[in-house]
Amino acid sequence: MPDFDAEDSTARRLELFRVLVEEARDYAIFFLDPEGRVTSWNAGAERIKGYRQEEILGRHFSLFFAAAEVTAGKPNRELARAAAEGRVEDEGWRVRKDGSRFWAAVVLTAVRDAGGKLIGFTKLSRDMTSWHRAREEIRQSREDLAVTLRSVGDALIATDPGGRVTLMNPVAEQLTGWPSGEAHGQPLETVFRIVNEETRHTVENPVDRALREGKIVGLANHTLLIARDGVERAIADSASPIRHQDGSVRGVVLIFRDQTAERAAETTREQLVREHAARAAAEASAAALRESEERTRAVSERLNIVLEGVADGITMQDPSGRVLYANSMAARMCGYGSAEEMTAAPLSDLAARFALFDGDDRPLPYEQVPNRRALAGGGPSSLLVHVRDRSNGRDWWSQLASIPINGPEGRPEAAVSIWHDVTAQRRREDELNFLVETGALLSSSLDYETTLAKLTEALVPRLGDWCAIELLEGRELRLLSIEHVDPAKVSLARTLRAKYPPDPRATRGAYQVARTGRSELYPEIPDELLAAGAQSPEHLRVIREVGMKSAMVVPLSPREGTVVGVITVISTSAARRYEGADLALLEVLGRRAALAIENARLYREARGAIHVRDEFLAIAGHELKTPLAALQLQVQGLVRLAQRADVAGSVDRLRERLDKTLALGRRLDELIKELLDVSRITAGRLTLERESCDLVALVRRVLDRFADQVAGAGATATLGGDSRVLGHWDRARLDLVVSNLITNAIKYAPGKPIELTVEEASPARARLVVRDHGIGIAPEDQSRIFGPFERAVSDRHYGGFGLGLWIVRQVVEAHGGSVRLESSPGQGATFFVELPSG
Amino acid sequence: MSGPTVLVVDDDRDIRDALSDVLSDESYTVVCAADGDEGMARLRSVPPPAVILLDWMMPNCDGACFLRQQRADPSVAAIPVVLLTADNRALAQGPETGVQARLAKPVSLDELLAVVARYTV
Repeated sequence: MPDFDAEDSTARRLELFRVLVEEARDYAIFFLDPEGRVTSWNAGAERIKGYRQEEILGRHFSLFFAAAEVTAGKPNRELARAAAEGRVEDEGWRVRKDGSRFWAAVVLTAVRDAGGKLIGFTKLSRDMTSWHRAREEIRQSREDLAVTLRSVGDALIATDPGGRVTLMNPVAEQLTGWPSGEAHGQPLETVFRIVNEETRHTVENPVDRALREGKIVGLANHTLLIARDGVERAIADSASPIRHQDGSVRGVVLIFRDQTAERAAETTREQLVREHAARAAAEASAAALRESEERTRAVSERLNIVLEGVADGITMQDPSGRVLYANSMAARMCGYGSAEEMTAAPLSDLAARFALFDGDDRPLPYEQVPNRRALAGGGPSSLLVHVRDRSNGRDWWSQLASIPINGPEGRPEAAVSIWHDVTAQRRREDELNFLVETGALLSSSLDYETTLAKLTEALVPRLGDWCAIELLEGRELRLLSIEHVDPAKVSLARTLRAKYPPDPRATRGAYQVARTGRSELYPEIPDELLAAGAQSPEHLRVIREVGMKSAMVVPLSPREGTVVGVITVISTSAARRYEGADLALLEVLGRRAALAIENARLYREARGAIHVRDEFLAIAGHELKTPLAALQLQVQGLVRLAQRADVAGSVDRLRERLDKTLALGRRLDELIKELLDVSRITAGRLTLERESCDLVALVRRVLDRFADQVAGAGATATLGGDSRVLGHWDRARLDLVVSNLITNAIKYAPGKPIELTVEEASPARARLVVRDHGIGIAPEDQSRIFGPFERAVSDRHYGGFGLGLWIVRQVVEAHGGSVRLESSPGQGATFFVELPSG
Repeated sequence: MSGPTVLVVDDDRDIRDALSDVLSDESYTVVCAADGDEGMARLRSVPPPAVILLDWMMPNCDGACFLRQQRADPSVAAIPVVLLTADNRALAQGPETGVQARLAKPVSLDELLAVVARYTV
């Protein structure tokens, strides 16, 4: 406040001040007395308010106020306030002299004297109308902006260049969860937290980019705004830099929108579009589909016919193993009545019912079964499997090939399996192996009784639960070996057989088979069959206990027409019913066993024959050597006699000795002839050269030939009987028979009559009888004289090898005939030879 | 013509005959027997022979049988025995059989006469 009462230069300073005030044109400066009347006026006041000095001095300053303000007492209130407070500033409309209004900025200052007494007021006014108007306009535009912002549906956040929030509209408040009051001044990223929808990574704040790049940037798609309360919203936004006139960036405006609903709507829309498209496509393809279905059905029908016609089982299984499809063959293989029954069977039933084994009959691990492998992603594979149906014990072999069917994702959706039944081959292989094994067994030893016992062991339980081998001895079957799965039952079986021997007259069973050479097969053994075979109620009870279910009885026959025994195999298990294939196998075994028996017998016989021949050779050697030794002695003696001087006196003696020498030569000749006969008979099993001949004529010729010998022995020979007995015989060998019988008679009945008879014993049967009256043959010798090297008497005076009667028997039997002897010691002997006419 | 006696024991008549003939030609007295038992009987009934020609293989009582009996009888045990046989085994047997000589059938007459001569000197 200027001190108007300063002493020194007060006048000069007053003058300076007066000039300053008066000349100040932009300010109205004037004084008021304590009551408010104008006491001074300057040029500025005149210019601003329109009153000249002379007009206004002495007038109350309320003149400058609008009438309403004067009425309201404002002028006097201002004076009072200035008086009280020393100074009042005010802005407001004032009235000019011409009544127009101007916006005045006013300072009213109380002026007091040195004693503090109020002496008036200074009033300083300035015309602020244009400024006021501009300010009003700004205010208005701000208000408009605020209203605009408030009414905008999008959220809006403005920041300063530092990225701090300066402004938020209600939508932004709502979406961010930040009241604008709290948000103000916060870094934008605190208020506006955004992440990528998928990665959940924080997305670069758009404000930073807008600030950096100085241009409008949009948000990346799939941006999520995380509100203060954690609610997430999909938003779309853009950020725009706020530029000053000079181009500098003053901040950023961020506008964003909640897209959750929009997104949902979009999704729904897209879905609808897709559904529409799908429906359209479906409808469009429905016709094509129907057509294609028709075709498919036709193809599948044909395919079905093909699959049904295939000899292999075909199944399709889903990954759980459930059977989706099976052809009839597959169902039949597995023992189901139909394919439907098989596909309807629960998986657990299939698993429980069938046991799987590999080619060597080891249990097959589940994961190695081709269909399981295919379903497990193991690709196609093939394996020989042995399947056993636990429900009934039936089993079969199959080459199982499985192929996976992959779904669109490359994972197996199903497996198709082809079951190629190789049971028959496998059985054949098994049988072959079995035959090889048993063949080895049968040929392992020539002791066939032991071998056959081993065979019965090999047959149980391979072929049955019971197995017995009986050998034919004469007309009786002798039980050679018996075997049972339970060894304890073997002795029981023997006891039973001893107690109830099989009836030789039975029309079925071992005796019948031994008689006919024809096998018997009993797939089933009904009780009536047991009852028919039982010899007593007790027997029936016992055989019922055996529990026979199926049986086979096969002859041991090395060749057609020859039976050496019978093999019986019995099953007591319901699972094993014999059929043709089993019987065929047993028949082969029967034949092999019979051959083994026969081989063993033949070997025994051959060994015997070799022994006999060795003995024969020893005897023959001795027999031949003896006359030779005598012959040599005689010849050497003759040589010595011839060298002596007195030869002449020894003529008689020489003659006698030469006769003996000739006789020795004859003896040797006889022996050699006999040997030749034997070799002729035994060479090549005596094949006959049959021709029509008359036995009577034949015998007569032999008698003629032997006439000298018979006479020489002082005997007679007569022939009686029919005049002609015709037949078809080997003439040369029958000659040998007759010769031997006559020689025999001469040898053992010298000097006695020999009576021969030839007659027809019965139609087509010739009979030759040779009767002598010699020493006869004791009953105990009668059976063996027909053997080789047998003589009823041991004295060698009778000469020869003793092969004559053996030769007779061989030739007669080769003709299908027989020879027998009736004799007693001292009563002579009668030989009867009977020959079929051939 | 009454030279030393030779006993021939052989089951074959032709052999006995031949031996008898050739030995008689050489002035021996020949006595024959068809087996061992008969041979023993002949040994006892006649003045003992100087030598015995014995067949080995004979029915009834064979060569071995005869030898056992002969050796058991001191009165005839010292008579030398010449074994005549075609049996190689008998020929190969050791001296324990107690025979003085072995001749294989068929025998050489010279050999036979030499052996008989040796035991009848």
